[in-house]
Amino acid sequence: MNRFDYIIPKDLEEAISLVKGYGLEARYVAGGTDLLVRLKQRALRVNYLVSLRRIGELKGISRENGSVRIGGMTTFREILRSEIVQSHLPVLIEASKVLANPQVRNVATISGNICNAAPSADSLPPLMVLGATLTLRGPEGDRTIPLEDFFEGPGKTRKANDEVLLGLSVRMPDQETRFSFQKIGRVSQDIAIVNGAIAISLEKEEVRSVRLVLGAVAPVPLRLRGVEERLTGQRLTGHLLDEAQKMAEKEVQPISDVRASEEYRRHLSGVVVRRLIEKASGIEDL
Amino acid sequence: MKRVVHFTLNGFEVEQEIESHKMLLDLLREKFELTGTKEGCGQGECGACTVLVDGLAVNACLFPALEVEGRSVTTVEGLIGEGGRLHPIQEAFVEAGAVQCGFCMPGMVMSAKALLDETPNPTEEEIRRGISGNLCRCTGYVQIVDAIKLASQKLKGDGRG
Repeated sequence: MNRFDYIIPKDLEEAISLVKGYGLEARYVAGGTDLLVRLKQRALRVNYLVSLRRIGELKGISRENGSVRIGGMTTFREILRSEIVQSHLPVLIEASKVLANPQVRNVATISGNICNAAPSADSLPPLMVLGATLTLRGPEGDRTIPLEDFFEGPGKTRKANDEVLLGLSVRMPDQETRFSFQKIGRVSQDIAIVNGAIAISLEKEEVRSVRLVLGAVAPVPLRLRGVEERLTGQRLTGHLLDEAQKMAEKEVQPISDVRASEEYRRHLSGVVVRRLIEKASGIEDL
Repeated sequence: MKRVVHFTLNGFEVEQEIESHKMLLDLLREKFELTGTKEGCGQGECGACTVLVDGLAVNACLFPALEVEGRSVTTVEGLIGEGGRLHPIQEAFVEAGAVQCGFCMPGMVMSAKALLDETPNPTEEEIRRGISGNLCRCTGYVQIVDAIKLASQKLKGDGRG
């Protein structure tokens, strides 16, 4: 780890003006559980880390006009304990439970999980199927961007270096839409080999609408639009599920790495898609 | 750049100058010579460096030293009672034979403390989740889980947190 200066600004304005002033020599740091590891591994070098941890306005979870708003510096511990998230976004609870381990969840933040843009990040498939929108603040002001359009590749996002993720907003889902989450790893604290989430709305046993996102199978969390289209308007049958499973294997674009081979990830992608549909629809043994 | 950090360490108000890129683990081991807290992986995977910050378990190897400003830090040394008496959690680890090489112990004990403070009567599943961020390379997990069950019973009789 190189010697950087760790700065704790008193408020958001000071944080933004510091990073704007130092340019690419500086980075914001949230919980630091990913960023500090990369600095230690010398995969990254900075001269200044500007901490967002003490900026109160970036924390907290609230309900506003039919939406849930989560401040960027909210930790996964706080998400897990939030009654608002428990009752309105239980799929995010499922993912947060298996994100790393207690020590990490006590400090890691939702903004860190989003802005690090790891294709395997556990919170991203749920937030994407929920249709989350991000609010960023930079020296020029605020802007919003759908989470789905935020990622450009592993570790790459549309956020400018001097922009801060203020938080995200999710429309509260209607009663008919059902969700599920799956993660496959050697043990749950590991980085996922494949993870995924689904939002599915059924009428009788027919699919009215569906959003399906898998993680760790492409450079960014991937919406399986082919599978979504195939399912929409169809009655859920064993045959359709077999087809969705096979389509998912083809639609993903995984790589081989230390955790799994490309081939195994393709196979798991099909399995995860099948389980997501079965679990969310409550229909088993199709 | 050097900066000064003020915080509560094992119940005492302290202040210390430290280079601002250092982690809490460096602060504890190098400046305060509290070497009970171990460095294992240095990457937040193994939990050997687990300490409590405002009562929550964190990996000291990934916690910037300056972020403890105004906070309360408890290390394994802070569990010792009057006259060097072991904490009931430590007693339970000894009695259950949970210690093999011992390297993971301070972290395991601190994770157990965080768990039992919040969940005084944990199920086996809750215990396993509670120590899921702590690795024991001797793989003595069965005895460690037993120790935490025993600690839970001891604390109920003891009245001490």
